[in-house]
Amino acid sequence: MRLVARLLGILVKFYQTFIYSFLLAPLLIVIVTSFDSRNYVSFPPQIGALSLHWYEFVVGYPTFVQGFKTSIVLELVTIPLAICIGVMGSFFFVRHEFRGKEFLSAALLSPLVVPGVVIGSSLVFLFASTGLIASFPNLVIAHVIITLPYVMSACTACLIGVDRSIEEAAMNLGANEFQTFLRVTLPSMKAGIVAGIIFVFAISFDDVATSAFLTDAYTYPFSIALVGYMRRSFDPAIAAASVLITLITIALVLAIEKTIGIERFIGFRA
Amino acid sequence: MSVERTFTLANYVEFFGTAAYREILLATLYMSTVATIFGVLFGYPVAYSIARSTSLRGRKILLTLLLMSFLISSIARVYAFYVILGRVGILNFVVALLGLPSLRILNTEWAITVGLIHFSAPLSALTLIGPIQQVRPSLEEAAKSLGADELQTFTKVTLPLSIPGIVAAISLGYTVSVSAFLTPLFLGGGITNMMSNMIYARFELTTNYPFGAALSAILLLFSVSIAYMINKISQRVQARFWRRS
Repeated sequence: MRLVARLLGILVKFYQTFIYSFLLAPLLIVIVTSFDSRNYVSFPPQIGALSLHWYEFVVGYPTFVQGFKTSIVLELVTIPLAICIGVMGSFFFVRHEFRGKEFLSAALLSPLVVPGVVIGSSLVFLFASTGLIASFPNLVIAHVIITLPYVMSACTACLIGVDRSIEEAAMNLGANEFQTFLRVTLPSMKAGIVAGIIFVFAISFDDVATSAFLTDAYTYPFSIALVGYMRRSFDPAIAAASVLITLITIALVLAIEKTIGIERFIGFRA
Repeated sequence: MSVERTFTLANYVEFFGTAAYREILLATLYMSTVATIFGVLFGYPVAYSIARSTSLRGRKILLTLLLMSFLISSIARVYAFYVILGRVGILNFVVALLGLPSLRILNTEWAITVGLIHFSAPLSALTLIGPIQQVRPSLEEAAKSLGADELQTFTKVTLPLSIPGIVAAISLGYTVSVSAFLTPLFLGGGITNMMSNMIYARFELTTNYPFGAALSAILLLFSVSIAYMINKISQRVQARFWRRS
């Protein structure tokens, strides 16, 4: 019996290693391929053909640069908007009772369940019928819609844990409600807000399904620029661009670790 | 764009009346189901290894690896699987080394499903870490002190107590898989499709907006209704679960 248990234990360890390898393999492959200076995707990579060629290409390619700039500006507008609406919304939901609360809550969380293409196509109809055809504001609205549920979940989870007695103490000492919110409640929600920022950035920067419907010839996020390139040629430029995005992601993860720690981010109760 | 506002069910009739379209809907549901199941099968061991990790540093490393695999952009994922599953890709390289004929996986349902699994597995793992953690180690220790070995402890104590978490992971994984767009677009190569990139094709290629809208409605209906059903099942599971303990 003990031998069987030992064998099972080894099997489980093998299984776990296999899964971790499966999860991390794409990242490694993309990194390796990005240094392969040949024009086509093939394995194994030639050692002699390793270079930074594709990185130089990506950084100099006008479509990518334009898309990246648009994405960054899009994030700079979407993140504050989503955070403000999300914080205010979660505060409203946690601290008040009103009729139709369940329904409104479900409505605000619905983008989690609605496929991205459905949101995108519906917004196209909405914007066309109301005459709002400017691409950038449409993108902002779409990205706020799809990221708001994540912000609200993170903020609500945080807000529920805030100690009301500290707020009451602050008000006893003379602070009005707004000051209390600003200096007591908001700092306690820091973890949720940081999580919200990370989520908004990760989801919005990577989004293809919804953005594909709302771009025009001049306004396109970086992800759409990449996808457009991928449809024409599948060379390692995409790998290089992906590595660059991943570096940004790594920077974000490190930022999480430095500010609130990865474990709290996951909701880990140590 | 000019939209004729006459109410008609012709688009839905055309969709459900054409075998090709019905097959795409069924393929979407099938691939999503397989991807969700494997997502949990892969995600649970990962979540377990993190939740029951004994060293602080080990746990941090595992969590970082998991987060990395979760935050990698979908474009990078698709590209990597193209490299792995292509005709001159990594998989076929290994297959050729073993002397077997090369596999044609790309552009088939399996390619898409593997891509979907790769997104749904980290998501399931992240969802399951909390619920597995909630199973108090003292319960496992109690079982072991009563004579159960590792396997029995797991199957009779840990696993049943984490079932609500598993249902949540299934619900989330399914929702995400059904909505997948980029993965079927590239890994299916236009030959195998899911509903989402069919909708996009109707808008971009054929500008058949009413039909595209009907497709969106159908996809939405299936996505929401199955998520709702899983939610209801989850509530019933939780009710029975709490009544028992």
